[in-house]
Amino acid sequence: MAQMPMTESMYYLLLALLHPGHGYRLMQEIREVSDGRVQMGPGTLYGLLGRMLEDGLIEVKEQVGTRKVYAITDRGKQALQEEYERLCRMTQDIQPFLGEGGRLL
Amino acid sequence: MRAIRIISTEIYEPRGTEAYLEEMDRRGYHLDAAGKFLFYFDRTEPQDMRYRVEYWKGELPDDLVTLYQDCGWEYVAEVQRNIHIFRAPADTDVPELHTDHEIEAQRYQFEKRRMVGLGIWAVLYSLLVCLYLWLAGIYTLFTPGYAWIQCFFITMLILLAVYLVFEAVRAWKHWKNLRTGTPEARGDSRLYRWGMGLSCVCTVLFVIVVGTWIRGIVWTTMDHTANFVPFTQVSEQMDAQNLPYFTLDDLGVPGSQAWEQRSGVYPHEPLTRTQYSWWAESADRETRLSMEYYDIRVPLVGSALLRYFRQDNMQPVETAAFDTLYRYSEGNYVHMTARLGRTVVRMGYTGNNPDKAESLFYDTFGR
Repeated sequence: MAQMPMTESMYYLLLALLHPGHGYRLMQEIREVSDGRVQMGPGTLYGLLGRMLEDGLIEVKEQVGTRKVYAITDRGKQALQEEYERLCRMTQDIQPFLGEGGRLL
Repeated sequence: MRAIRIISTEIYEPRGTEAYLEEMDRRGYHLDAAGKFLFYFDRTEPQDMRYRVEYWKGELPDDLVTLYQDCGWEYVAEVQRNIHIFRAPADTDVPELHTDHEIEAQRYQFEKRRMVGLGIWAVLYSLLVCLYLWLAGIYTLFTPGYAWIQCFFITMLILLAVYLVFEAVRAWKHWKNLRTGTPEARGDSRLYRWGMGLSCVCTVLFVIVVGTWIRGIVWTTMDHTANFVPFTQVSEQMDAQNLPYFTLDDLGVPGSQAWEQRSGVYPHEPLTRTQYSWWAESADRETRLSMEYYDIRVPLVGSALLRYFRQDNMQPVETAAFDTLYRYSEGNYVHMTARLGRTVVRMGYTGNNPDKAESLFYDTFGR
């Protein structure tokens, strides 16, 4: 079963995979969707892809030369959805302790 | 132009290797290829490169190499097994290979396995050395002619055990650093390379010495035909060196045929060993006489040798003829071991005249 809760890298990788793509494109995509905040190295990416394939969160859609094109599976989407809901709950849980402008009381 | 360097054990410390290769590039040595033991460099203009060492069990997958290449990492070579080297120019924005510490765990696992493996080897090997020293004991040191080689051999064994322990400790430290994320204190590369060169020389020496030793064992084995000396010749040699001895003739074995089984005079440092054994057979009985005579030129060795020869069933005998005498007899068998000054003698006799053999032993070798 997939690791819960997800790491930041896993979260953004699944997010990027909503548009199928090969490794290098995914790296660029991650940087774009996180607005340059998350930068993933190719080694980390490759390790993650392997693990997620094993967990069935993603699949290899096609192979172009030595480049594999990955896509998210239904299970992956579900995991991402659950993670999103978990994050939402977390942000809600802190609300009572927040004052004006979102600062902790 | 090519330059070749020996790969040091530093290869297991990725950051050390990376720093070394980067330094080499700054000095104008561009890594071209690598084997199990050697780096091959091309001479080029000095340049700034970034090197990264990757562990990967088995062959690197094509898509991984492609992905790294897409990002700007050039695959250079596989070093030894499972260690792969990538490089990229230093002043570009090529992303780091690993950005997530969780993935780094693979690296820790690799180091952990290595550490445990080395540790097990170190323990096993140390045990083996102890066992060897215990079994071989003092006798190995007194095997004529090979005493110095034995000393060298044992020293090397001990050194190797120490080295293994040292390596295991280093691997453990490295693993701990990786796990806790402590930056690694870089060792002096030059020191390691010198150490590596030195151990290569030692290894060659070791192989030569062990080879000689094994060859020596084979060629000096008593039963080897090349060492088979007719007894008449042994008698001549013993007479020439004025060594005392007696034979089956002196014991009066009538009308039987006698053969020597093996015999020889072996003059070596630190002792001369004379050995022979006779075997005679007549219709209803057989007679055996075997003798070992050691003429020792180093103090204390005699007592040690005697202690080694003494068997559990032998009893000490008080006598004026020898400094020390151990004796065992049973029926028609008598076994005696004695030391007089720096001379050690052993005799075993089976026959119908053990009393005569015993008195001859006293007369021939005693005071």
